[in-house]
Amino acid sequence: MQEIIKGCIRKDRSSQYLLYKELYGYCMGICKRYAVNDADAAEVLNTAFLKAFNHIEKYDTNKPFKPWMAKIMANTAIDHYRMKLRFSDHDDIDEYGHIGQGAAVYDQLAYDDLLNLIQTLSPAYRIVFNMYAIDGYSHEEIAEILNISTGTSKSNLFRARQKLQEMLAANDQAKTGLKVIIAKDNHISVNERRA
Amino acid sequence: MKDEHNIDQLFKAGLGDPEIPFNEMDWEKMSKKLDAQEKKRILPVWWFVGAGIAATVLIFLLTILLEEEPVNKKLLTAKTLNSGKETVEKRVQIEEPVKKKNSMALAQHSHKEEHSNKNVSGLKSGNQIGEPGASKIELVSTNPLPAKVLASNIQLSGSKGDTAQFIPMKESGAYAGAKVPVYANLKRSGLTFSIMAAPDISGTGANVSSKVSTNIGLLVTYPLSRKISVSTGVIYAKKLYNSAGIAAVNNGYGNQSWEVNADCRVLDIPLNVNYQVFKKRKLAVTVNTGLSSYLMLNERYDLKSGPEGNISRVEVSNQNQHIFGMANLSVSVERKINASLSIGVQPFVKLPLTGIGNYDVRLNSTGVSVFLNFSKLTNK
Repeated sequence: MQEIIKGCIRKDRSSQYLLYKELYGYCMGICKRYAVNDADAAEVLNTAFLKAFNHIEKYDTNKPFKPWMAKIMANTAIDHYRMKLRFSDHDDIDEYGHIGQGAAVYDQLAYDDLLNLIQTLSPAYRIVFNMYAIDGYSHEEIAEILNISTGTSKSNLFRARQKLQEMLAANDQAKTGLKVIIAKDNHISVNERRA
Repeated sequence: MKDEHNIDQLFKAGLGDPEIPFNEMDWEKMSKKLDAQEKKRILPVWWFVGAGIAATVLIFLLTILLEEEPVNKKLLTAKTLNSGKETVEKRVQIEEPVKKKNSMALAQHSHKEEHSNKNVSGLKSGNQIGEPGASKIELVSTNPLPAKVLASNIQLSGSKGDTAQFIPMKESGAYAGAKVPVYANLKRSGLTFSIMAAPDISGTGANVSSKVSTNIGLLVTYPLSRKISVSTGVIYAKKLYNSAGIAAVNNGYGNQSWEVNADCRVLDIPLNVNYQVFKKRKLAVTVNTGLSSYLMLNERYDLKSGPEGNISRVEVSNQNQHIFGMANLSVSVERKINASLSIGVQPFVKLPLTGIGNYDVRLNSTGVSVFLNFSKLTNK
């Protein structure tokens, strides 16, 4: 890996290819859950890789490489979201009504199904859910990065969870496991509901 | 304290490190991105070459402009030194060839143009008048147009202009030295070259503050008929625009102000059809419409958000090409300076037919272009 990174610093195309191929799945996984669709994800992936290749000399070789890449991926995806949002006509604000197709019953949920569900969320919910639940940002950080209030961040997270829950329930026929989750969900504090 | 939730855990685990098969197609795109970036580094060389060519054309045009001015000055001097012997002596030398050419031109015009009769009769009456008056000379200096144009003006200025052009050579050598009559021998060739510069206001319809974008370009126009012509060329545009505002209440995106500033370098390649709706003396009005292709050389987007005004930047190069992605609409008003040069203004709008740039923006531009037309003259 260190050799490949050194090659990338030299702007050696074959090293860049090896790095790209090596981290493709991992990075695409991050991009996909932030993106609306696969094409969007691929666009973000390549923009992020371009950034990474351009600044690879800034990477501290004493630290693990994957998190460094993950950070670039997430940042690029967030930037992409913000740009799309600012330039778009805000058509996508309304919550998406449809349920992700092919979502299996809860205990059979595979990667594709989860991805399908998260991509079904409205962009504003999806990004907060991604940042908070998966990438570990705090509400304060999210508020600052997305230029929203922490209240909005919390409320979007709450609604994102609620939405995901509903979708899981809708796709679930008889499994009891889900009911447990729903029951646990009811203790969400009043604070969180505040917009 | 972080609020953990089992839905979070479910997704975090489920989406954590998926096995996504490598897609060679994506690497192809990545490879192109890297290539484009390398090209960008080489690009400055081409800019130097391009700038060189532009400068040459500009110098060429200026030379022509400056060449014309002394003529008018000479005429003015001639006016004041009307009876000065020295002036007469000097200019007699050039009298011969000019006279010849003029008679040739006359012959041609009588064959070709329906106005030529008026033209010639104007000349004859001029000949009979004899001594050229100062006022006639003035006409020469302001009317250095080919006989064709003068003829279309008919009667007054037409015949007077011709009088001033031709008589002096017979009656007094003092005016033969003027280069102006030479234009009578020249006819417009097909192409007109234009150099243009234009400020415009570009935006997405959600501008907070209007920024002035700049365009500079070289265009070439080819006449299809007397009134219809087509033009194309290359315009280098620096498009600055922004999109900003306050998000609507309860839209889920927050309610603070935000602003995106875009700075795009664009090659605008227009293909327009021009229709001349009005022409009188030196003034012509043309309506132009057509399509433009936008080649996005470099796009930079700065997102400013939050009270601290944090800026995040996205920059892409040579990623987006929009072939005939813009519609052009303009009206140009053009005034002749002399036989080969004219200057004009052109209010225009450019409307998007597709989303422009990295974020598919409905980018429109409104502006006024100032241009200088140069039509090559050929000796007939």
